[in-house]
Amino acid sequence: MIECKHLSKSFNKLQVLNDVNFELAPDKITGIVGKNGAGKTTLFKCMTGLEEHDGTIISPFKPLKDSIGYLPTSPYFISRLTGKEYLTMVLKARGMNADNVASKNIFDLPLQSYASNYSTGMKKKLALLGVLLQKNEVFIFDEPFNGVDIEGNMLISGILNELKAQGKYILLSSHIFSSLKTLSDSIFVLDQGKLSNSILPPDYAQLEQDLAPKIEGAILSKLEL
Amino acid sequence: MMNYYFKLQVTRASRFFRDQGIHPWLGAILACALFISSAFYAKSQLEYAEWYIALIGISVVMKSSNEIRIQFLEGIFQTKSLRPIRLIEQHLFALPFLLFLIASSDWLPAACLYLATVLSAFMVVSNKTRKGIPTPFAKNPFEYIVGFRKTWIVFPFAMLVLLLGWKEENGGLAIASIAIVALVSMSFGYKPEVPEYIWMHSKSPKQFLLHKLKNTVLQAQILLLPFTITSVLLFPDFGLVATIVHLMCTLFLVTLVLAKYAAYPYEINVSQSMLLGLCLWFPPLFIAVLPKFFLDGIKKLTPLLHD
Repeated sequence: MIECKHLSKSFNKLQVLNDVNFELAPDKITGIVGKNGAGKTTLFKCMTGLEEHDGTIISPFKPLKDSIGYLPTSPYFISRLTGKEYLTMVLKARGMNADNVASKNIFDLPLQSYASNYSTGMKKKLALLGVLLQKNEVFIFDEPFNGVDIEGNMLISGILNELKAQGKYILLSSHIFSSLKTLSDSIFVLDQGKLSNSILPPDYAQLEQDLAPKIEGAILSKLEL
Repeated sequence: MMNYYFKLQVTRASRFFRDQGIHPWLGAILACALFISSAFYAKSQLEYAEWYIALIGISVVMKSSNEIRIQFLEGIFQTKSLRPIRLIEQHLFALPFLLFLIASSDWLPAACLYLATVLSAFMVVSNKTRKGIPTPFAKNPFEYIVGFRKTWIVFPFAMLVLLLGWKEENGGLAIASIAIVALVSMSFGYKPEVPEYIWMHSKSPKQFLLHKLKNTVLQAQILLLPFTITSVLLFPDFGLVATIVHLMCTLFLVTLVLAKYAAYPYEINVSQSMLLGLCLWFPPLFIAVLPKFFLDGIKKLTPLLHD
C-alpha cells in the first residue's frame, strides 16, 4: 500500500491541499476528479516530490520518486531534442539501457523528428512511452487521454489495464468521465483542496450526476455574445 | 495598441533586471556600459571587429524574426498594425550596433546591418527542421546536443577564423577560435531546466552533480579538442597558450554548470556572475568558487532528488 497521510500544501496564503488522506493499492486503478484548479496537479507533484508539502507518504519503495512514472497534463519537451533522444535521456536518467528504444515505439511516433514539434497527442504518447519504458512501479497519469486520437486512447486504456494486471499502483486523473468510470476501481473527488471519501463503482452514476455542470443563462449573458 | 505593446516590453525588461536584484535604471546603464566597453575592446583588439559587431547585430534581428514569435504576433495583431510594430522593434534591436558602427565611421558594415534590419521586419525565419541534425552527443542527450543544434553555424565560422590565422600566420586568431568555441559552449548549459528533468534522475544530488560535471568535461572536449589540436599543430609556438586556454575554458564550463545548480531554480544571479568573472580575472579563485558552487548546488537539488 502507498499511504498518503495529512497532505497539505499552501502557496503563500492560498491553501491548495488541505489535510488530504488516501491510499493506493497495487493492482487497482484509483481515479481522481476535480474542477480546474481543484489541486489535482499539486497533489500529484507532492506525491512525486516535485513540490514540498506537509504530511507523510508511506510506501514500500525507497526512494519512492525513483519508482514513480509521472505523466503530466502537458509534458514539456526542450527544443531540438528528437523523440529517440528524449527516450534515451529518460532511460539513462534511471540508469537503464537505452539501446533498443526504437523497437518499442508502440505509438508509431516519428522518433527521428524533434519532440517539441510534435502535435499535442504525439507529445503525450511520447511522454507516456518514456514512463512505461522506465518500468516504474507507481504511475501517476494526469489527463492521459487529452489530445490523443481515438486509436491512441484505446491503446492507453489497454496499457492501464495491463499495468493493473501486473500489480502496479495507478493514480489516474481525467475530465473524461466515461474513461474514468470504465477504468477506475474507485474514485476520489478533490474539491477546493479537500478529498472526498472513496467512491465505488455502484455510486459512479450518482457521482456523474453530481458533477454535471449547471449552466445558467445569467452566466452566459455576461459574455454578451 | 502599439504603445501598449512597447510599454509591455519595457515592463518585461524592468522585470528582468528586478529578478536579478538590480534597479531597472541601473541595469539599463550597466547594460549600455557593458555593450560600449565590449565594442571598444573588440575594436582595439580584433581585426575586422566592425564586421563581427555587424554580424552579431544581424543575428539579433534575425533571431527576433523566428517563426514561433512571428506567428504569436500575427495571432494578436491585425496585419496593418503588425508591419509598423515589426519595423520599429527591429530598429530598436539593431540600434546599439548601428549607433556604434556609425559613430566609428564603419559605413559599410553599418549599411549591411541596416539592410538586414529592414529585410528582417518582413521575414519569418523558420526554426522547424523535420529531422534532427546529427551530433556527436547522442549518447547523453541534453545540454550539448540541444546547444550544438542551436549554434552549429558558429563552429565552421570558428574553423574559418583558425584557418585565417594560419594563412595570416597569426597564432592569436587560433587562440581566438578556441575561445569562440568555449564561449558558445557556455550558452548551452547556463539556463535552469524544468524540475521534472532533474527529478527524473535516480541519483543523489552529489551523484547528479558529478554526472553533470563528467558529461560537461567529456562533451566540451569533443568541441574544443579539434581546435586546440589544430592550433598546436599549426602554431607550435602557441602550443602552451592554446593548452592553457583549453584547460581554462573547460574549468570555466564546469564552474558554470555548478553555478547553474547553485542558483537553481532561478537563473545565475548577479553575485554568482561576479564570482565567475572574478575567476576568469584571477584563476586561483576557482579553488574556492568550485566547491562553494558544488555545495550550494547540493543544497538546491536536495528537495528534488531526495525522497
